[in-house]
Parts: sequence; structure tokens; C-alpha cells
Amino acid sequence: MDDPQVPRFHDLPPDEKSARVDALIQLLARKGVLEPAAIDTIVETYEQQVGPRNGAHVVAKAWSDPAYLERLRSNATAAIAELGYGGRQGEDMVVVENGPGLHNMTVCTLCSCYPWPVLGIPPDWYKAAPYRSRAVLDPRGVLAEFGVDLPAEVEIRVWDSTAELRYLVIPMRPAGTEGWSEADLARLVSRDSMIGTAQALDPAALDPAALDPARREIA
Amino acid sequence: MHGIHDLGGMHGFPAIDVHEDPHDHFPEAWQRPLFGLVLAMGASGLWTIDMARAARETMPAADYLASGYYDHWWHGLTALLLEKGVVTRDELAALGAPAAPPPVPVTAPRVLQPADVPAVLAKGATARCDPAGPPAFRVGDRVRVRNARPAGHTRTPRYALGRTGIVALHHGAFIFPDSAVNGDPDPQHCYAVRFTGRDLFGPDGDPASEVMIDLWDPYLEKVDD
Repeated sequence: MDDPQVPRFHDLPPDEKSARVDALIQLLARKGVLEPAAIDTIVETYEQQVGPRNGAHVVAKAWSDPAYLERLRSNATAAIAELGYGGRQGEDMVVVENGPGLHNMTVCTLCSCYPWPVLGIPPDWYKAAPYRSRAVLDPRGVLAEFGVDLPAEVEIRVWDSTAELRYLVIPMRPAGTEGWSEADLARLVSRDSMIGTAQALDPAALDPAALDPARREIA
Repeated sequence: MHGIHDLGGMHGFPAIDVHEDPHDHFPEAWQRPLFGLVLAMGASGLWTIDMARAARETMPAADYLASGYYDHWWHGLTALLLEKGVVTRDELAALGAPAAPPPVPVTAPRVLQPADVPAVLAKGATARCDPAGPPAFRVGDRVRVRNARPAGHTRTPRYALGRTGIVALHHGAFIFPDSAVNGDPDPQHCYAVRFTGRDLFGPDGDPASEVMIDLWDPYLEKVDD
């Protein structure tokens, strides 16, 4: 399609892009197809409520509660909804579990499909060409870029989200966390560990003062 | 179409920028309202997610690579607004001009109200639907991705064309993008198909990796054992 705009949008400096976006919002509002106040509500929802803490809650519960893990395996969308998470870009969820011999990683080579209700807005690198091009071709090299060195015998399974299924990686539960509360376990679950470009955090990396009081006495 | 958006398996891109600020989703101020605008218009009923993806894929290849993610969103949004007759080329060209013409009025099936945002986002819009018939394949079947280059929207990644894999999961029936982009949901069964690194990339594939690709019935053909 011919771009009617000269210069083209992506060549403009940021302040001129802001002016264009604002002008388009005003135009669509005057046409009666947009209520501009909805824009702030949408952005604030993702900035303040929907993010990777939701996914960490799911993972920590899966680590702690075998019955919940079974429900995640049989119907992830329903099990995640039990915790109050669901909706746009997470309508049909699948969980994939890491183990001693298997590491899962997710990508969308065609665009940027990502499980928003549990992870929030995807990071820039997830949407950019370097990750999207190499995740399927050289997953071990990609993991090395993130500082993850897996033993050669660990199989890597990459999930290319080409349809409307959205994948959440359940990382391996770190050793030395027996008896931890779900809240403490959730603090070990980073966003990247649920994309599959990291492992769960080492318990030693957490500040003991921030843990549950009950846990601190044991630590 | 297998355009520049179809990046899987390509060489030539730089290192992954793994050090971004995870709390700053919108490093440039214009990205924040554009993000909200695209989602708000996505709830208008004027187009579907497949149409939105197809519109982003019309960005010229060189521009796609030379610009950022939200630039792609601007391209897709403005292409859709033009295609659906919501804005005119003159209106788009005059954006921000001091003497812009009075807007041509249009209507949308829905106008998302702020009070409805939480419920709309929490509900989403599933693409899962009742199947029109039985699945063509079963878990464990050997299948080949049909080699085809449709000019319209499609979701077969180029790196899988003609490759053979094993049906690993049957997801159920979902709206079929190649048809849905033209307004026909055309439910088709969808599967996760397992390919080894060697299946996909020959001797350069990782021998201990596999790729699971979600593919619909019409993309696949049976391979006899």
C-alpha cells in the first residue's frame, strides 16, 4: 500500500510522532468511533495490573499444589482463571513444563504473540528480529545470549506461537526451596523464566529480609 | 504472504538486546497512547485480529526492518483505517495540519467506553470455535507442511514449508486465518506439530532441539509411513 504521508511516520522524530498520534486520536474521536478516555484506562491496566507477577503466581502455585498442576495440565485456561487471570491474548492457554532433561522456550516468529494476562506486555527483544529469527534456528545460542548455558544433553523445545494458543513455561523449581510459601516461591519466578529465556532465580539471590518472617527463621 | 514479518530461521540480525528496562514499556512518549489507541480500535468491531496482523504485514520490507515495533503498529492501524473507510487519505495526510478538513463522519459497531475496559480486556475474544467436521489428523501422524506461497494472509512460517513433522497435540478447532482475514471464520482443526532441528534446518539444525509449530488442517498433508 502506498503510504500517503511524506515523510513517512517511522522517519519522524519522537515529538512529531506524538503529534501525529494525538491528531489521529482527535480525528477518530470527532468521527465518533473512539472514546479517548478509554486509551488511558487500557494503558494503566497493563502498567499497573497485568504483568509477570500474575504468571509467577501461577507457577508458584503449580510448584506447591500437585492438584493445581494437574488442572493446569488438563485445562490451563481454566486453571489460570481460578487465580483471576485471563482474557485478551490469553484466551486459550497451554502450560509447558521444564524438567532435568527438557527446556521449553516460546517465540512468535511471525509477529509477537505472547500470553498477556499472565506476562503483561512483551519485552522489546521478544518482538524484534534478532530473537524471532534465531529462536527456532539456534535456540542454544539464543539461550547463551541470555546467559543460560544448558548441558548439551538437555533437549530444547521451542514453541512457535503461530496460532491462537498462548504458551506459559513452568520453569524447574529451584533446589533448596522445600517448605517455602507460594509468595516466596513466586519471587523466584522471573518474566524471562516463563518465556523460557532464563531459569528460575537461585534462592541465594533473594534478600532473606524480604522473605516471609516464618521462612526467615529457617534461613 | 511470506513477507519480511516471517523472520524464523533467518541469519543476519544483531545480538539480542537483553538489557532493556523491564518496567519501561514505552521508552518514547508516543508509544504509550498509540498502544492504547490500537487496543481501543481493536475493540471497535471494525476489523479482526487476523485483519490487523495482515495490515501490519503490508509494511514494505525495508521499512519494516528499519523501524520499531510500534512503527509497525502505526502502519497497520492507518492501513486498516484507510481500508475500512474510517479515514480518508486526505485526512491522514492532513493529520496535525492547522487547517485540517472537517472529518467525514463514520460509524463503528462499538465504541469502547472507559468503564468497559476492564471487562473487555478480561474477556478477550477466543478464536476457538465448533469444528465443521472431524480432524484430518491424529496425534502421532506424520505430516508435511504444504509448500505454498499464498499472496494473502497466512500463518505457515516459511522455514517450515515442505518440512515433515509429527502431530503432537490436537488443540481443537479455531478460526482459520487465511479465510478469517476475508471475513469468513472457516473453523479448522489446529495442532502443535513437532519438528526436529534437523528436520527444519538439515545438518545446521541443533540435534537436541525441536520446534513445535501450531498449524491448521489446510496447511498439512499426510505422509505415509
